[in-house]
Amino acid sequence: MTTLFLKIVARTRAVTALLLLVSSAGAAEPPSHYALVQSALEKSIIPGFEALSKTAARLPDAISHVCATGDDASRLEAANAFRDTVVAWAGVEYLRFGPLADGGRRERLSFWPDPRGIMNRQLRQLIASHDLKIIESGAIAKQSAAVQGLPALEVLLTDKDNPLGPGEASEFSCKLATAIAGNISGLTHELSEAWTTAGGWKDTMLRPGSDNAVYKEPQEGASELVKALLIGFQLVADSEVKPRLDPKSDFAGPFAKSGLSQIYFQAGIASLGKLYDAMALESYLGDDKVWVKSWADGAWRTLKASDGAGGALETAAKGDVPPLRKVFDMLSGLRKLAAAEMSVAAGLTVGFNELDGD
Amino acid sequence: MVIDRRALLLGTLVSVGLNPARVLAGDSGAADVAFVSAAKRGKSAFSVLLLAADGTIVREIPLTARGHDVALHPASGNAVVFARRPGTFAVAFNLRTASQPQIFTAEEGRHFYGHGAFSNDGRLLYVSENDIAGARGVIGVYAVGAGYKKIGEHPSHGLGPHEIILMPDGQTLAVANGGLDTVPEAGRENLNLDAMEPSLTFVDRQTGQLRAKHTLAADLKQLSIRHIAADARGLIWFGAQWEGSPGETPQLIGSVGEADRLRLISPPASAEPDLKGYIGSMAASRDGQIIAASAPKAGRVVYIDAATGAVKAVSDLKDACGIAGEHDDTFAASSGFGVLRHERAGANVISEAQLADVAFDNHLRRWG
Repeated sequence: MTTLFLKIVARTRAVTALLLLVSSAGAAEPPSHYALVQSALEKSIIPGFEALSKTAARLPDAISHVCATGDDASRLEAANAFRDTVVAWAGVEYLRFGPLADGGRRERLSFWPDPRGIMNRQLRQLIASHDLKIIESGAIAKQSAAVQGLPALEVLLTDKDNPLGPGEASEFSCKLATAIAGNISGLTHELSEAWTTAGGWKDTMLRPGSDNAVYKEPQEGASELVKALLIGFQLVADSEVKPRLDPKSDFAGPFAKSGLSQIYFQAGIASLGKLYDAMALESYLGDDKVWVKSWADGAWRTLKASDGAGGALETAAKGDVPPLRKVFDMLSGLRKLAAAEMSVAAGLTVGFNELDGD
Repeated sequence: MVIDRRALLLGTLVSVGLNPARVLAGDSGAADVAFVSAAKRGKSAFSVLLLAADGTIVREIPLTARGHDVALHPASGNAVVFARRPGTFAVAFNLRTASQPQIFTAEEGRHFYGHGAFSNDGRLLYVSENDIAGARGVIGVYAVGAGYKKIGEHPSHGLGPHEIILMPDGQTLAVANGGLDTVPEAGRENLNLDAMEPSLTFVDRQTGQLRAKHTLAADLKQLSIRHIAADARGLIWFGAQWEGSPGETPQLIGSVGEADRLRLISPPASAEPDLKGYIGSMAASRDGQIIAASAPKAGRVVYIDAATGAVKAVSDLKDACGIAGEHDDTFAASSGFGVLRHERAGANVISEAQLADVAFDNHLRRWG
């Protein structure tokens, strides 16, 4: 019995040693905090905001075409431009610092969640008013955030009772939709510029120092990104998945009117995955934390197989339909591992109160 | 929401029930208790900790979800820890008797904001709550002797009431209305950042009548007034959280009285600390001469002379948030990294304890 036990121990040690050897040989060198920020900006954040600006720029013309012709081709073009903008928005909406936090841009681009139905109420009032002043150039930007962005445009685009198109009945709605589309395009352009222009937020993050009002050390910029990642996990878990776990809930998800809730979820997960990879947080983990990487791999597989609404993606392995509860748990688990293991190993521990105080 | 509330309640009961040895440890150890604070334990457990002055955990009451502040009534030994916004549970316990903790929940259509205050006679508890459907702040009134049964409510005369304290007159409640609208189904998302209405109100605790209401200038509408403390003169000092553009850095600390206009401190540029737009809690020294404000995002505690409004000193403590006046000019501060520190308002550290597997939550309360 003792001999057998010793043999098992010896074999286990040999396998562990081999695994560690393979793991060490294949492990990437952890980046400096500066390199982490640079990588996240170049591989994930800046492309995300540029994509949003690019897709949103298609909206004004697409809406104009629908309103001018009302034909199927123009409707498809508008629907595609809207879908692509929503997808791009899902990729950046959790980056709630810097330019997105400035001037209420996040709420103005997407007033969601909106459990009180404020957007619908205010939009209906605007339509009923037929007030030409609100469709003058730049005027919509001065209205309530609820009617300035994508959810308001979605209502106008999917209104079956009064569809956008030529004709007197939809004239005001068309002008309003065009104004909102222009506002969205303008806001996303502003966002992209605020990140990339000389002296913009990209420079703010890449040039820490005593004369930098926000980031004194590279570590502070890197910590900001850890916080963004943790907030991203929490937002998807709490705002998109958790409400569906209540069987009595009539939660429809973001952009449900245009059937984009699932694609929104997938785009958010894809973006979080891209940021996670770009930050290379796993590379800071020691050899004794192989289990963390292994657990995280499994969690990402689950998240990337799910449509966020209880179904699976076409690309998921056959029969792999992750239950929503599991999706929620994987998001919560990844958040905990990133906060308690990876960021600690990276020297980027975010304080309990700093991250989520009240 | 119903399911959440029920699950939470059951979870808390189970949690309490599974830890009788820790909860009912015979001797309550009350004589040793100097501080009370909600905390995270390990990676994902939550509790309320009763601590000796040196940081030793005297008693621990497990919670299923994260707590926020603790209301204390020294004469009776009663204490209540509240779920944080937008939670719906509260756990009442007694610091002297170590009796079984008692759980109560917000009624249907209401959620808590994490704070409350006892009446001087200890018979009533006032709790900051949200009328979810009506999107208006209310102050729930609970009868302590009836098992914390809700017996009524007053308007908070503002949106998003957060910290409530009883004024020295024993009759008036000072209420920090954060101005934010939240509902449980949207988690902790603030639903009205573009239409915030922060205010500080003085409310008669018996009639609910508004005695005074102070608001901020239009360009400071996104300055959420969250936490308050009273100084020796009965002036209320508040700490705010900036929800506006990150490029703007308004003052976060100020004072106001029922008949005194609201003022923000104005330290000279050379002494102006960078607080990262966020004050986590406020406390007054025992003599009410010094006010402390914690800034966890900046890792700082700011000490202010209550008589002049001048910044006396700034100390550094990573993730500092809980703060409580001790004696003379001494304060205790706690951090999310498990540090309990005693320091003078001159910012010199007296002693410091590091607790393992403890992340102190938002507020620290001095007992005794």
